Amino acid sequence: MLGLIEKDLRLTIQRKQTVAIFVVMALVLGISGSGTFAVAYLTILAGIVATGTLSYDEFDNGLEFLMTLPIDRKTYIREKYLFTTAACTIGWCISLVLYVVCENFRGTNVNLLEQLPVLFIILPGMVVVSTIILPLQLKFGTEKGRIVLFAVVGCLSVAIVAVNHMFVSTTDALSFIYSMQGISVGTVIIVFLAICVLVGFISYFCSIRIMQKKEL
Amino acid sequence: MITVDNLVKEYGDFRLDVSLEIPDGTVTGLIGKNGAGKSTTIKAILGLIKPDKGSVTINGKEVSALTNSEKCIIGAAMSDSGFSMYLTAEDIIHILRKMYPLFDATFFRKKCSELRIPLEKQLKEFSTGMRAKLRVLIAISHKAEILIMDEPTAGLDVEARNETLDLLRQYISENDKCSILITSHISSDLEGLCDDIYMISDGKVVVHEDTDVILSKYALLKMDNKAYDGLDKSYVISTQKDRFGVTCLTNERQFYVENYPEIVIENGNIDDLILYYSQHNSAESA
Repeated sequence: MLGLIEKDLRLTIQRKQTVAIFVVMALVLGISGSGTFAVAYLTILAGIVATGTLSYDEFDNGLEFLMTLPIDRKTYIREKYLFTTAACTIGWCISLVLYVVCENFRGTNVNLLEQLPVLFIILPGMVVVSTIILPLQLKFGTEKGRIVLFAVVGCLSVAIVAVNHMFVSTTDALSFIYSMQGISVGTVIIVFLAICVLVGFISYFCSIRIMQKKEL
Repeated sequence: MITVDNLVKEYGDFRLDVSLEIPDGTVTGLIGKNGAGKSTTIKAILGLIKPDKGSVTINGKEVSALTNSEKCIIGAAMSDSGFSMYLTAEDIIHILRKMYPLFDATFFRKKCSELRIPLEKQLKEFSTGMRAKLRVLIAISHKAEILIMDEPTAGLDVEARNETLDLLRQYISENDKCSILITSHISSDLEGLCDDIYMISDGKVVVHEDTDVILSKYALLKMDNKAYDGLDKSYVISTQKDRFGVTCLTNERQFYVENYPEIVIENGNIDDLILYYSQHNSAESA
């Protein structure tokens, strides 16, 4: 596991220019006023950089060689999820610092404690989005995986719009929103976290299954 | 010790069905035409593919059941895969140090220097020879007891080939308990390294002989059609006719030396074995 983390860290360092560009873009976004968006943006980019190490592994039959090393398939997948979660967390922490710096730069007084719950739920959300990429990439490869990801996101968007449309047409949306106001922020965060953990575990077990069936 | 017992793997029309054994301290060569099943066999031994039937064991334990620490005794060099091209040899040292408890970084650096492998350049900037030498070096730098080498000298010039083979020879001489399985298209590489040779043709083992036996007992018999008609064909494995006469492959060179002094007898080698056995099999299947 440690060897794999070392490999992925070194591969990520090789992409330092890409990482630097992402940080600069997040800074620009932060200064221009989209502070919370910049936090989500940098966190998801960190996740994408981390999942990108899978493409590096798969390039030139690299995965085949990696599996000849003292690593089993389960450990490989576990490391990818761990590395992606760690990358998102680091990205989130950096983006939080940048957010505070940008807000101060713009002369806004930031009450971080007050905003922390909203900023916090970005992290598990972005980790889950990143980890959904992994089984798709493992199953379909880097190029096809991206197409499938776009297709999945497209289908989900259409489904959400369709459900929303049905919902608005059959019930009173305002009364639902009012009823939601009664729920505490803590409950919303817990429910959201539970959904993220559930989706994360489904993604993890799918990846394990795909990897164990994979012929290299 | 590696034991491949009735390993069966099917890909469409192709069926691999082989058994082989590589005892401790033995260097075994695996030869055959492209598509004969060498790489599939190697992949099954390394646990990269699942056999449809049969088993592959390393030191008595099923390959698929080997733990990560048990896999540390295996060193593999694959012909067309390795670490990411974006890493450097220095990166690889740090990675291997964390993967193998017995990884010898001093030996690795020393050999990199001797073999002119740059430590700070990305692998994508390496020449074919540098990459091949690095692949072998990675496999031998953690005191592996089992080495699996798939075409370690493919595409190399004479100098790089000799350096790669010297690296292996040195390892073999210093680790006499090590089992090595090596595939190569260059017969002289195998003749100089291997104790025994398995030849695979159309997914089946057609020959298993000690290298010394191949070199001493196998021969090419060259004669005209008239001499061929009178030839005892009991020990003829394969025959090829052309406008100059007839060439036969035999595994009983001495029999023909003693009984047919008038025909030309050339010592056999691994290339002849591949060429004539393949023709023999093609003719049989036709």
